[in-house]
Amino acid sequence: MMVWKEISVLTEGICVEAIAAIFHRLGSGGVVIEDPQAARKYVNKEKFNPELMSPDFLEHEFVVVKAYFPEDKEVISEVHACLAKVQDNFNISCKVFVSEVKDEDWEDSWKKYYHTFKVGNRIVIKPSWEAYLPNDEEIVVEIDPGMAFGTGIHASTRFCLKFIDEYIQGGETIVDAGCGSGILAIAAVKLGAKEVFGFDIDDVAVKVAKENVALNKLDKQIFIKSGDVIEEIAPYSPDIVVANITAEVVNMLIPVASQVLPKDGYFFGSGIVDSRWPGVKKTLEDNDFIIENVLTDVDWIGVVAKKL
Amino acid sequence: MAKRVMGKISLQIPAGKATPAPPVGPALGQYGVNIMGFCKDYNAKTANQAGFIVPVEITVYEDRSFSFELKSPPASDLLKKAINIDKGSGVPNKDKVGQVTRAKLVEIAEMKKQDLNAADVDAAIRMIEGTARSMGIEVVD
Repeated sequence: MMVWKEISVLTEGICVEAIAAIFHRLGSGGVVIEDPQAARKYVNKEKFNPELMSPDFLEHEFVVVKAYFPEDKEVISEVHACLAKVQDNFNISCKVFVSEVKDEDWEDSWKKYYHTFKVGNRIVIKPSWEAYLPNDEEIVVEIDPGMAFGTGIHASTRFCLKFIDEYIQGGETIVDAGCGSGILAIAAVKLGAKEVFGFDIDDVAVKVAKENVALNKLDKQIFIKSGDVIEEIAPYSPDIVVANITAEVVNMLIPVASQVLPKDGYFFGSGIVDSRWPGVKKTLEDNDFIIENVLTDVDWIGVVAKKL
Repeated sequence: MAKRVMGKISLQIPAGKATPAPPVGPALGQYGVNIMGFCKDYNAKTANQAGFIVPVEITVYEDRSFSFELKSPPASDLLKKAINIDKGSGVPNKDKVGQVTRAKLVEIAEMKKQDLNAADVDAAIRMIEGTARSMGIEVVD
């Protein structure tokens, strides 16, 4: 568990950029701006119907600029010194509040809104803390995604689940490049794949994926490893490579996947923003793939490509 | 019917590098938003602007789904770029890091007007000018 110092500066709108600049310079890695005035502007612009706004949302009068630092980093005195200058420049007073927050304070808050749901006709994604009785045709993927990618809600993950549902015949060896929570690997084996080798560069994902594999009792068929997907894929001879990452990584992975996949092997690519799709499409075509299936949802693209 | 809005969150974070660590985690967590889902979306859409801070305004709906809009770079980034420096001053009243012309301030204010909490261009210019001085940048005519 990690403890963070939350520094909040209560001020007026005109000082926001100057205060944000102080935090950026001190290496906060970003700032949060809570600005009810900006929200009012939206209401005025009729971008949102004001009747749809939650009543307690527009109550605050002031703007708050917040930044977070590791507990042991000494920044308070410098923040005060820099704020004095901001107050002089704008002739506006700023109030500073410091409090402590812990990772656990926010890590689980979204779980209240994560419930069992179905993707396609057969796959049921079930959070580990809920109960569900499947019918004969359904397979249940039990998941606690923690802080890893892959809850199944995002369009890019849903695309891959649909591809797995549609294309797995039984007995395949699969490489899951960028396995995140392990959701795709688990779904694949439950639908008949022989084995899945999953990799992720993020250690949190590796830990979470291993836990989820154990939760689904699939330790003998799913093997999760930490590592760079491009380097790790080489020793395997998969029938299918699935990569739900980003367009950049998918693009780098395609030539390697082309080397390891047999004729008629499949590449499932997802996490591709539509503006990057032409580039990915070209890379697939340049590497002996033909595009067999494309799914879209707003600005996301998922693709199934077959090796020639 | 349109979905009821629960809140709006504005963040200034490095492009392509959103993680569940602060400030993203606590800011989104308090609304029950799926933090990793946002990180994935934001990183994919800002990957081509790596090295810059890309502000984002997130709208959270009653069912905890969200949408977001990317905004123009922070005033401090535009000022640093305008005068070609890496960092503002730690002691802005003593150490000056450079000079910016009033014409440049107006240009930046015009560019950011839509995204700033400022009533008009004059207010936006005052905001940018104050930001410059607070960073140890002198404003010259």
